[in-house]
Amino acid sequence: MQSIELQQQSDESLMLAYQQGNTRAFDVLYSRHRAGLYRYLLRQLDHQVALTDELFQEVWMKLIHGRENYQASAKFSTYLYRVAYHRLVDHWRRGNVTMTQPLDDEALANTDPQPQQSLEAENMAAELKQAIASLPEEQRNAFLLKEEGALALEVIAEVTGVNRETVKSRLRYAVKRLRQVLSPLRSVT
Amino acid sequence: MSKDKQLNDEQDLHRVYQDVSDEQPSLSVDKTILEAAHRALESEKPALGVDVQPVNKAWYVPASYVAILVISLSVVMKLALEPELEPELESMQLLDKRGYQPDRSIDHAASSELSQSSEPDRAAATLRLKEQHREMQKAEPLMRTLEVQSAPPAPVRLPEVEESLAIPSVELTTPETTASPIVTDSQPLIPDQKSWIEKLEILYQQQSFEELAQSLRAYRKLYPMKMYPGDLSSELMAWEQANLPVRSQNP
Repeated sequence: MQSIELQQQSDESLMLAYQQGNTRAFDVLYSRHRAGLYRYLLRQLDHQVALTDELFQEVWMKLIHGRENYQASAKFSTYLYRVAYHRLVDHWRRGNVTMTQPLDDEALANTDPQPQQSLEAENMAAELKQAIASLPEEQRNAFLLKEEGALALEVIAEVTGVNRETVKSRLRYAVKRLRQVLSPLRSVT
Repeated sequence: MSKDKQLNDEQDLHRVYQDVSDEQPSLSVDKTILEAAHRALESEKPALGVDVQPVNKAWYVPASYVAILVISLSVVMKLALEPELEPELESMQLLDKRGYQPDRSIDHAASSELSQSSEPDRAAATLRLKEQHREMQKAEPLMRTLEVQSAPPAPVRLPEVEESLAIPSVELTTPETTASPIVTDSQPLIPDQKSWIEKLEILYQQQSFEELAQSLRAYRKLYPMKMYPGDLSSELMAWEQANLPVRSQNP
């Protein structure tokens, strides 16, 4: 009964309940955001699973130990992804960058997908992930925050510290590049 | 690219992305994080598993409020029921009449402070003034004792001494006797020791031994030999030792 009630509560209410000592509330909150946050980190870290696991745990630990700092005025997803983004920036600043170099515009423009009749959905998924990994870091970040965190443009702007129009522009370029990768594949499938 | 096309592109891309996104953290990572979240809350609970109520529901919070209220009321009641300042001022005036001169500078300083200060300061100054007056009242008996000791011997009436004093004031015709404060019926006061001794010497020289003995007994009642061993002349003392019993010399 209590579990059903918790499932109906907002993220912010659940976080406040966890602040008050309700561990069940945290379980529900974690189940809602675990996959999205994990994929956000995984794609930012070039699919390095071990590194993703490490940073994923660090983000949640920071949230657990800093639960008293959370205020209900902030949306929980904004709070969570801001912590994650800052943790990523710290990681990159330390020189632990193992990202793949983003493809330049010319490379993307000259992408010549091989029309293969037998290309299946798994291949398309792999291509899409590769295309996301090849995006410039700002575009990739904006795209992943929108897709995985379901954050609005304003929130992405707040998390990344830029204005809304910049985020909008980055998203437009990201979608354009990904469409360029996906279009031949989808026409085939 | 038109806006509609862009929107369609985004929606299409979103759909494709959600279809292919199935990565999730491992179960061990989930377990680690959930256990850490539970442990963090358990570490906040007190040791020995005692479930302490929140502070605002604890019994000692209202109890402390009640204690503060009671103490405040007690202080107010004590200040309100303390004796007024006026009776103590009257006692001060009584002391003044008796000659006691207290250190008025303190009072003036306190009074001026009292008149110039604000309301809370005035209350404090009033308390200090009351304390000074109380100390002065305590010191009053001591001051009276000191006054008595330092003052010249006051004329005291002692009936039995007066009766025994048979100093022949009438017979004494010398200028010294008339000028000295010899005890008479009209002025039955005890003379001072020096003039008394002079009269005793005169009686001895006049050989009025009966009167001398009577007067000397009266003298010894006030000035015992123990306390005044060398008060009389050697001749008179020898006569006293020879003619008066020791009991009369040392009452």
